[in-house]
Amino acid sequence: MKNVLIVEDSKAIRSLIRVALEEAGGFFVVDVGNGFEALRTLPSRPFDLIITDINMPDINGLELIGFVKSNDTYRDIPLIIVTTEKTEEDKKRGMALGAAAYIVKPFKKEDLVTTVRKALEGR
Amino acid sequence: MSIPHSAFRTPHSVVERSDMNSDRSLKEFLSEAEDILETAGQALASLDDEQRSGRPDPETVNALFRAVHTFKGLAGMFGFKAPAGLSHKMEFLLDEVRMGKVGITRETLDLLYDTIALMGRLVAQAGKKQEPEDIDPLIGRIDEALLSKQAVSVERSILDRVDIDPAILGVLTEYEEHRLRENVQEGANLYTVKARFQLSDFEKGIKGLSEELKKRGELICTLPTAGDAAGAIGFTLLVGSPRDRSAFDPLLSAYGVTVTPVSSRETASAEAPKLEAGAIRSVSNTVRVDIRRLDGLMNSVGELHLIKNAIARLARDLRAEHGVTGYATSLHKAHRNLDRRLNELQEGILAVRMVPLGQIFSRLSQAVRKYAKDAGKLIEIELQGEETELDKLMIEELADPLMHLIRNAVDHGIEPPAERAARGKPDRGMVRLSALPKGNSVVISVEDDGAGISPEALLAKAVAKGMLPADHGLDPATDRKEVLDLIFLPGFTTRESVSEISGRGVGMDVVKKNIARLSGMIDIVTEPGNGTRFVLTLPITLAIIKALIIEAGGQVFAIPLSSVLEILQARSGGVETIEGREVMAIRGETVPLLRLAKAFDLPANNGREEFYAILVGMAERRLGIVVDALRDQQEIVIKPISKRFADLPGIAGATELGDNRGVVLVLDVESLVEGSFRHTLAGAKAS
Repeated sequence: MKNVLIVEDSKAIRSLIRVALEEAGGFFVVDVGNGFEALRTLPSRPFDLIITDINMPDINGLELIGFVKSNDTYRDIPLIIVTTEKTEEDKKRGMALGAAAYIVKPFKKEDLVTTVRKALEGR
Repeated sequence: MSIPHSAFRTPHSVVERSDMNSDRSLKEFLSEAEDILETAGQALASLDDEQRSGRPDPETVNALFRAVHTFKGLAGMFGFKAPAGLSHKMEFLLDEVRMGKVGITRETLDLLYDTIALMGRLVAQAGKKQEPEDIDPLIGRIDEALLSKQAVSVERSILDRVDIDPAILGVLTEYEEHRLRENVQEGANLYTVKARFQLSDFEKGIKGLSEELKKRGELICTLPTAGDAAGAIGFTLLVGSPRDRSAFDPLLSAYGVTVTPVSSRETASAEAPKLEAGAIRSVSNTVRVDIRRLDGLMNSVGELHLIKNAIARLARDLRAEHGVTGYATSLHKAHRNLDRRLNELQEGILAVRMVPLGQIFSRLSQAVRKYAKDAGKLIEIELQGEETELDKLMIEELADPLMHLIRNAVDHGIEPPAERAARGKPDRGMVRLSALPKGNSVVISVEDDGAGISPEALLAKAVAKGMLPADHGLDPATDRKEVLDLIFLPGFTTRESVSEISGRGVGMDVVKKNIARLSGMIDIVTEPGNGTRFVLTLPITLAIIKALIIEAGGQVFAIPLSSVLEILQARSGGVETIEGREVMAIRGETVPLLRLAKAFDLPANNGREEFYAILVGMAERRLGIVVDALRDQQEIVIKPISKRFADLPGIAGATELGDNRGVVLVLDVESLVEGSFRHTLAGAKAS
């Protein structure tokens, strides 16, 4: 079982991602609605992957990636950015910060699962 | 471990049909879509208010953008094409707005209102599994609005001027970077704030801190950092603010943060524009000055006053010790000269800060026209004394309270045309906004010729709302003043139904609080049937004020001289007690007394036969503040005090006196008089 943390402020999209991964099998999914919750949740289990939205209040996806990548405990966890075509520039910045991949909304379940599995290769 | 991205860009959606047919899935979409539209609607209403008062907040625009962005993602994921398409277009428009490329005009706001309304209808149609209505006409309007887009020429290299931590620069979104640039461009001070919290309960701390920072400026970035110990988490925040570093002082102890100004990399040679020979000279001989520079100068003047006072004391001591001899007299003369020049300097700086009230009057008169139209009333606006000058910062702070008073006048004051005709008044109602200089104060009034306020109705309302007991003992005729002041109590509104115009949850208590914060007073004159006038009396500046320094219970206090009417030397024999309150007759009027030492729980000095009563007053209300000793008069600069004391009634701030008396508290006369009034009401309740 791979531990996956989803950070996304839309509850419905969060649950779509969770269901897609759970149906695909092999994932233990924890989902949270914002960056603060993510910070609180990170120490709770050894996460293998983080899927994060960019546009969120308080702390956004880039700030979260910046935190993960500068933290000795978490820096090796791969991150996938959930983005839209509107946030092209921010996606680039996220990739520059060290995100492993991105996926553009709206996406198909199978594409999400493929992206996740590729990001987890070698872990 | 990079992945070929193009493989995952799927232009079409999404959730399989089988999912969409499930009612659970649809319900999830509907409930969240409605929540988001609710949030978007609220953000838009705030933006509308902010636009009317001339200060749209970037944070509000961004909140609206974020809501629409989330909506788009949601509609797209669930395969609802029409809402996704429309919100996509709206997101595009809002992105241009938040990047400063499309202005926030009335037309833009109306367009946004219409778009959110249509999004709401589309969601409802999706819920009923109906065909969505045509979105093209609105898309066309948005395209038209986008034509007004302007290129914004912000130097990209502007960020090279400031020395910001690269770790912060790296995590800024495009929008945050834009806000940072705007702040640098506008000459705001940038601060790096570092905080550290326990991981177990950091959210309360960081949220509280963020709120405090937003009160002082714009929070540009919040970057979490690894805590220096297990179980801790750090945050590095970037703030742009017009305020000095000292404005952040209260946060140092309250949140244990460090605040470091971001240093500027500017060098004179790099910045100086290269002028070619014969470059065109400016014909204007005015300069634009950042008001913070004037604040800085005024602070220096305040410090100079302290030094001047120290010299005065030296001169006095010298004369006392050595008599009126050569040195003592010379020092005394030098001090008098210094005093005169210092006053000239101070007046000069004050004069530069002054701007005519006309600036805000014209904004307000536009608002009257708009409100009148909304309320279906005919209203004439009259402006008087637009040339009257007031401190620039005070003018900005006055915009909101004045706007509220005007809304009240339009909404509750002026009657509809038919009702006016029935009362024999002209169809067209009148709202008059006037200003008048009065010594070191300015009197601003907002007047209407509407229905007026009935003290009887106010009193009945207060009783009905449980704010006063039925046997309150107040008489609408003889206690008119006290009764009218009920309108300023929190939660008081005279209408059952909240109107669109003034019913936005802000009451007269907030107006009063805002005016009090400016050391001002507000008073009502009203005549049922003939109209109402709200009279605001404000000092022309808060930068520096004259204060009376007094002593009570072994402590030194400063009282703003603008509130002092008279100083009396009185004897205990003249004090009477009525309903448990000490009062004194002053020129035929019974004035309640407040023993300052008792009010602040200091050792009282009751045995004394003689005492000083400082008569202070606002409008028709008077209070005698009993003190042990008078010290002197002094120019003071009021400084804010730490958060812990900020809500303490009776204290307006602190000031430094410059001798061994150190820092003393400045009394908030308004709230002291208010407190004594509350006491009277409580007495009325009890009796």
